[in-house]
Amino acid sequence: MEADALDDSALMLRYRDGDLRAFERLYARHKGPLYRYLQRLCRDTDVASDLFQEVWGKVIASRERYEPRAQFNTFLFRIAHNCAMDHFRRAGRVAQMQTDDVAELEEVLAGNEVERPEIQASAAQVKADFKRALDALPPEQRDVFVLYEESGLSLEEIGNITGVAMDTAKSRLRYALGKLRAALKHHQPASMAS
Amino acid sequence: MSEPNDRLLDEYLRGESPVSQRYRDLDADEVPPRLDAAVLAQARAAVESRRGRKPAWRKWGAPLALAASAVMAVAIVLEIGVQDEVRAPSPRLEQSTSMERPQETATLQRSQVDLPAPVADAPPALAEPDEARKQAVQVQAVRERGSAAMRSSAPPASTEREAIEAITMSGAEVPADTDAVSADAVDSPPPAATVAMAPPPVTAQRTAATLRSAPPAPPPSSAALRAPRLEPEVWLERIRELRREDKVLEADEQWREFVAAYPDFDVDALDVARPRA
Repeated sequence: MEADALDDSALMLRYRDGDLRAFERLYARHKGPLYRYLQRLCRDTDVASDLFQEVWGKVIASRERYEPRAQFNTFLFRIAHNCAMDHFRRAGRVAQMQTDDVAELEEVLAGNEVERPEIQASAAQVKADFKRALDALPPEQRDVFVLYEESGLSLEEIGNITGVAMDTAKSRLRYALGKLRAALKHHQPASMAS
Repeated sequence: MSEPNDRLLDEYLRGESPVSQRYRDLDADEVPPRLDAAVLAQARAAVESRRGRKPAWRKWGAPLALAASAVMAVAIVLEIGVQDEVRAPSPRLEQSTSMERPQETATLQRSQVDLPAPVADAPPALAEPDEARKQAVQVQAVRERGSAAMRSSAPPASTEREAIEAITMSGAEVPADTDAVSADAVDSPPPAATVAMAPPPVTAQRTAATLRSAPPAPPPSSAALRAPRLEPEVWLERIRELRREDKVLEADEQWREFVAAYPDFDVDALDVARPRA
């Protein structure tokens, strides 16, 4: 059977048995989402690159113990999440910007708006504002949002990965969406913003 | 405020939120090629190290197997040796006694003559050879009795062997001089007959081979068997001793040989050495 046709767990099992091509296929499938997750969570390309390598190193090292009890995605992003949290802990940034208050974010965005001229926002401007709003999210909310976007996992699985109940993960996602939506609201017609 | 957020969440979870679209529009950095190369090299190295790595038990497998084989070989050899020690004396004794009869007999007779009588309180180490010698004499007597019987009537084929085995079972050693035989064997004429025996035990093979290759001594004559002769008085005393010990057959045999050797020697008519009527 061709490696392309196998699911992630089968590829990982084949790699465990010494099939390097299976790993190459697995890596090709997941490297993009994983890199983006780390990059957007950490907001630092160098840190993201280091963590990316660390995550894959752990995947490789744990291949002998790998058992397909859960999706490979869950396995991979759990490692990535733990690596990122360890990094934040080391850097003392966990408590940074821990605010669940959408109003506070709106104030930040409003401040940005004050700095900008009242002109029709270009696509680049929308993108920049959205990126700014994403980076301004508290790490826990950003973590859940980016995980949801990149991994395609359910909220329950994301709760498992991040070590919280599904409701907590859902709450964090809800707050994140509110802040991001607020960032976009400034570039939308009044009818859409409501 | 939670109500609009719930609505946003439901919309988002259904995939209808512009937030997802904006997120996907973000510029995404590709994984740098150096990272790709590093990760794939790491994966390759792991696979290769796994191929090259042997389990711990495999690394020690060959030496352990070698050691186990050596131990087993030694144990087998020792076991066979022990079994030979138990089994071998009988055929070896038979061989050595049959092949070396002339020398052995002469040696025994010489020792009978030359050695003083055993001291009652002699140390065991000295007493044991005497005991062995006595038993060897018994063997000799039985053998001679057998040969006498062979001369007179049907040969008791197993008498001699039984007697030797009986002595062997008693644990006494019969002196054997196989080395002397093998040393003499080099220049001796080829054997007229070989010693027939069951498959020889391993440790007895050397002796057996030596004996096979050793030429049998010429058939011993009665005179050769007794050479050198005992002095008449000494011989008579020995016969008397045998009589006192109720070794009638042996005493009779000795008497016959004595008469043959010294036909003119005057023996008292009442001498106890004479056979009883």
